Amino acid sequence: MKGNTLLVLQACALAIFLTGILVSIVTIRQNLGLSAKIRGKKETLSQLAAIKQTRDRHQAALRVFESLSNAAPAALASLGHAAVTNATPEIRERESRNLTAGWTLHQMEVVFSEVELNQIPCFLHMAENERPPWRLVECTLASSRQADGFGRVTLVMEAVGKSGKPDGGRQTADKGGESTVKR
Amino acid sequence: MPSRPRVCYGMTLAGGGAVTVRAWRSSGGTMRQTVLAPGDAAARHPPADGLAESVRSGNATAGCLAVQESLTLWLNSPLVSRVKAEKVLPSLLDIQLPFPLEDCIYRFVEFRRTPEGTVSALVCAARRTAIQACLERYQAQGTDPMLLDHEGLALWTQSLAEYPVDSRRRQTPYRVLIYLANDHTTLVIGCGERYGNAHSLQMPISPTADDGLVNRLRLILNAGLPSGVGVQWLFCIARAGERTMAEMLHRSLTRDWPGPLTLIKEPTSFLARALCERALKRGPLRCNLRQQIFTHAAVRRAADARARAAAVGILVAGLLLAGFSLTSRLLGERQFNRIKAEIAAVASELAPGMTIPYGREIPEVQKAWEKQVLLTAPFLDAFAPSLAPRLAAVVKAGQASAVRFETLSLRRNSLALTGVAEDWDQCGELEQRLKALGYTVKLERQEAVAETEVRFTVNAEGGGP
Repeated sequence: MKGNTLLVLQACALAIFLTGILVSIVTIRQNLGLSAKIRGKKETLSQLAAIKQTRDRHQAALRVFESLSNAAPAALASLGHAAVTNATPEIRERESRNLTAGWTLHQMEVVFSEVELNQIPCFLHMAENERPPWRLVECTLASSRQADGFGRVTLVMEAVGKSGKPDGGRQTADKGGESTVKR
Repeated sequence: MPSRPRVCYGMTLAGGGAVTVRAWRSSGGTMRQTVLAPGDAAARHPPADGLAESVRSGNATAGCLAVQESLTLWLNSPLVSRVKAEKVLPSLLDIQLPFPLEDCIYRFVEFRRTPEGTVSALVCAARRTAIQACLERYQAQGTDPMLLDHEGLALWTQSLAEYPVDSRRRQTPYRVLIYLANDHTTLVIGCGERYGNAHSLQMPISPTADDGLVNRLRLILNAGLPSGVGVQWLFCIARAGERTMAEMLHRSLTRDWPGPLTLIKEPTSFLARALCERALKRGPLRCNLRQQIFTHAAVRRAADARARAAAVGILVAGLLLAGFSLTSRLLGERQFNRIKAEIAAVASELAPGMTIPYGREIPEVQKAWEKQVLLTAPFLDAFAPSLAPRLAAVVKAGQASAVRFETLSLRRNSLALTGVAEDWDQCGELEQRLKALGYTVKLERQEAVAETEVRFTVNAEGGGP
């Protein structure tokens, strides 16, 4: 009787052990496929996380703009008048594009026809230190044939702002600082 | 029997008397022994059924079968493989036995390789009737040994344990142990540590019966020893006061086989000590003739317990395997689902209001992001480094190279210049300076023909962020 019990126990043990081995083999095979899927999903998640990180940086930049007390970009004509003497800039709007949350991207072309070139950095410095800031996107200089240190300067400036168009769209600043809109 | 007993009672029966030794092994392997007095209760009844004490406390009882009731034999197989030799050795034994192999219990106790490379085995065998009779003798003494050892093997291994072979004594390579009991004499012959054979003489020893005993011994030794070889003589005289007889026998035998005499100390308990030592310690020539139907109940129970434990172990291992496998599967699926949920959450956050099909998260989110990025990128661009410092650096490079720019067009990733220089090399200097600013420069110079100045054009790419 005892021998039978032991035999049954051994048979059960063997059966369960073999079942365990079988389950392990099946699980290992399934896990191999599952781990490949998990790797793929992790890759997807990391790509999404990268996009999210970029989006977060954009959002953070937007929050900085939202925190500004004055959301309108400074008038370039006034800046030109303050920084550059003996030259009247022609200011044209090149592009205006609506952004998120009521913000607008303004791209303006500032042309100084005959200007002392070493005054341009001062103008750029003033424009870039405004809040919201103007940003130089493109710059073209052509030196004058008449006088050294003078030339024609075309600056493409960009700013994000709210509350209407800076400089009222197209304009020219006269020497007295009064702006004239060109249509 | 427990796999590693800690305490053993070794009992020998000779001439109607019993000698019992209790030995115990410390955890460090050190053996301690006590000879139990005949009147001692433990000596009279060392764990008789071998059940309670042995199983519960790991004790064992050991007895031995006399040489005259058993045999030891070296069998030489013609086979090189031990596995194959083990299969044919019983047949070889059967041929050697004067009775059927089925009537006896046998154990192969040692395997050796012959100089030819074949397998040689030492077998210990006894008839079932002899084993039964021996057990009955023990039971008559109130004990039931779990182990039934062989007298000759026990004497030999104990002689090696107590009087190890001295490798420096090359002139006496052989060893003969003569065990003089009350009712018989046992002779064990070997060479070095190798057991040779054991013989028994049913002659009570007597100082007056010297010639007969010596002649019988010489007859046996002539068959087992080469003539004239050196022999280490060990005498174990189980009866007190027989030292003179041992010396007399030694004198007689050394005429043919010279060698020193060693008298074994505490000879009465020598065999019982041997039984304990062999039961408690691992070593060569271990033998238990209580096999098959003679297996002690406690030994069988212990074997059953081991088999049960092994079966339970395998069962538990199987359950653990299955459990671990299923757990790992569940954990894997859980991780997969968690990542899926994270992907869905991030995707819905990046593309709000969109229904994203499973597996299409990246293309859908990218599509949504491409639309959104146009609306938010200018905010981040505002924090990008300004072009103004670069314009200043380019102008400074021109001044340092002593060239004059006629036109300059600067964008974020490109620069176009035209100008004049007084010297051909000044253009080259400008090129190097622009390269130092991070530009990839393409410089074109025009030979000054009528003019004294060199005209140049620069188209550059790069220039940092």
